[in-house]
Amino acid sequence: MTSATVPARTGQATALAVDRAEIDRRHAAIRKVMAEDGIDVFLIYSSPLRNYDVHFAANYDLIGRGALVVLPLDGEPVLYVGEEWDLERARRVSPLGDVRYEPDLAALCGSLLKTKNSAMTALEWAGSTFAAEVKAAAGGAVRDASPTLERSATRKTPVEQALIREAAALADTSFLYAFDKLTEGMPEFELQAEMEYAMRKGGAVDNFGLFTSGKHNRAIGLVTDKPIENGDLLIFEITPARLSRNYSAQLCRTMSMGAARPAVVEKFNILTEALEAGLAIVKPGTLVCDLVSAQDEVISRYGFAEYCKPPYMRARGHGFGIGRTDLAPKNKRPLEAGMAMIVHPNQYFPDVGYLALGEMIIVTETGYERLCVLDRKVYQKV
Amino acid sequence: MSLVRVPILRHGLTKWDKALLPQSDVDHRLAQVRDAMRAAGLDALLVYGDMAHSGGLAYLTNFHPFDARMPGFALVTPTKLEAVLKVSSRDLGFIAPFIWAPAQPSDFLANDLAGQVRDIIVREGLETKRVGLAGAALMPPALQPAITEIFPAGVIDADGLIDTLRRKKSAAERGILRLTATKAEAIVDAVAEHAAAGMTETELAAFADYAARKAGAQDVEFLMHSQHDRMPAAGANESFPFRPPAERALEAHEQLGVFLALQYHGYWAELSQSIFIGGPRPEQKEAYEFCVAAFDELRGRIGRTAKLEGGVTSFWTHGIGLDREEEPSSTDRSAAANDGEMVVAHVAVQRNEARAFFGRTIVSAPAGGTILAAPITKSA
Repeated sequence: MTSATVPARTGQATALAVDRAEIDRRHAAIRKVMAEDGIDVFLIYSSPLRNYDVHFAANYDLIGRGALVVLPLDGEPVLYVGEEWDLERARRVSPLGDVRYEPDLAALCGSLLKTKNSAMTALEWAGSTFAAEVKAAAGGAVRDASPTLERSATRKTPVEQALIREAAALADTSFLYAFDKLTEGMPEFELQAEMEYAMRKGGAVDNFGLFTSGKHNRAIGLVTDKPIENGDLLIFEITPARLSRNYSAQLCRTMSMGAARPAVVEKFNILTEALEAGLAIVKPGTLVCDLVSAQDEVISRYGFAEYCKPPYMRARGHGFGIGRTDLAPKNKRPLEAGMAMIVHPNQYFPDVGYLALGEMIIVTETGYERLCVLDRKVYQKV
Repeated sequence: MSLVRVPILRHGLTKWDKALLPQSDVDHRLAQVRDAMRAAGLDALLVYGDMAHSGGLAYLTNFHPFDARMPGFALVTPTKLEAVLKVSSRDLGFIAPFIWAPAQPSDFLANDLAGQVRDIIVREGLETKRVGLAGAALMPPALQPAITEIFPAGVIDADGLIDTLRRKKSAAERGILRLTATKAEAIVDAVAEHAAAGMTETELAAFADYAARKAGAQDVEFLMHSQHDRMPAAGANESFPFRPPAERALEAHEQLGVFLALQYHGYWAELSQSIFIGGPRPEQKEAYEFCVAAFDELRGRIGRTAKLEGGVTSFWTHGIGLDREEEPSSTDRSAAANDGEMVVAHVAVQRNEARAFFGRTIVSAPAGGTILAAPITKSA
């Protein structure tokens, strides 16, 4: 894939539908975990700071103060929205048959939480006043069931996987478009605008986008108005989201403005080796910590063990949105088929600075599916 | 109306341009904060901010939390200003150049933000002093008690103190807001030029986002209203007519409403505008002119005016600045706005089958507000 033109409709006119059948599949997964955890009435809540739980359960993208899906173990789910002005749209975008406006979500939550074996998610993401109102209306402590919801969403459904594939394609496209558009003297934020256009035109609704340029980068950060200069290394985390954060895919790559120094290529090759060592052991049952250590061992073997720890390194990858897993050194969770994650041995080296390499995968029954189609190399703009 | 959409990451251009906001302006701002603290009998002021409500924290530090997991605090005493930001030490490296407060990182995995605030309060001997706290209602439910427990004698609610100070913009702030509003005009102008029948709403929104980021947006929100949407009800507390773009092709002679919220150098401006694909029909032109006239009445005197009474005309207003919605927040104020306040006013009109939208950011003045940037003309 070398074309750097923006595809007119990549991933956008999709046949993928988050329809009632898809929502029913997710609710079945949630109900299975509800039964395991002894929950009869499940309140799936979203505030602006964590707006993707309700999206998972109802395909409603929150733009107001809050929304709630009430999912009983048996019976019809209900979506409540906190803004009357968004009720009509909520009914249009959500496949749920019962969508209502509720001016006092806290009182509603409290009332429902009086039911035996009820629980609520994401209250910790609400403001303290809202949380206090919920607890007061409930008449006491509220059972937090965020882990229940997270567990139910660990393995992505086929529709979720397909949306994540589309997001991964958008990330690749965006990177290649940036490579094409890159010119010396261009400010960082302008290059990011070009990248963003490529992915949004293709159907991305948002982007966890970090990008930094410099001769010796310490980390990937927010864009500035610094002009990109000859000899700069450009490091990217590109993370388009299709429909919601839950269907995000990340790409980590490095470019150089001008020919890359041999030391840069040499260090980047270490990252490639680390990535491949990690991916080689990906299959259901592999512990997350082993996936981390497989990457760290390669980098350590080249003499950079001390840079495999904080503050230089936090995680060797992660998922996105609901059901995410952090590829952290102490995470002893086994990988499962259907998990989606970025594996990124992004690394600081004392001589060349921070380099970025990472790719999105979906764990399969026998190994993994690589979603990125780009070469593993430093893209050199000469 | 309470639109509080939070992006995954606030990832646009982030900076502190000292030509736009000089250190002297920051110093004057902090002096005003300390004057207000003295007047309120406060020994210190502790301000919380997060990604959804970052204005108070940004007012004191220039830091807008860019990730929902990364709130922060600023502490002002008569002699010091410092911040604790829930970011890693690595991230603080790229944040430090654009904030003016000395800051310490608080790794979000360690989750000891309250403990670090406590250490500072103890170090400064403030546990039993009169400390104002702003943003308590916004804090996560576990954080709020952990912060208030630091002060055995309690804290004093300081939301009003900081909101009052932020309400009146300095000359430098007005300059940034004017620049933001000017950029917003140019962006919507370009969007109007770009819009064509057959193009989908999402394609048009992608272009709007592109134009905004290319103009240096720190954050941007672009929403739409089509002729297929329900018009907001008329009367007091009218509802918000805009929504995220959908996969729908624009139609010839379609009457489209667009809403742009643009953040530049920390400050927001808002704009709503009619776009008539292929040019307006006579009845659409008439509706648009009525809408602009209604806006002009509203601009002169924020509140219900003759053109805004009943019928099918609706409007909504709110203050704007470092937060998208801030004081003054009243929808229907009969009194003239105070000098120097920044207010957004939007009007939506339906006359027969024709719909029109016009909204701008206004500098309030006792004699009537003025639009911050000259309105575009191409779109309508």
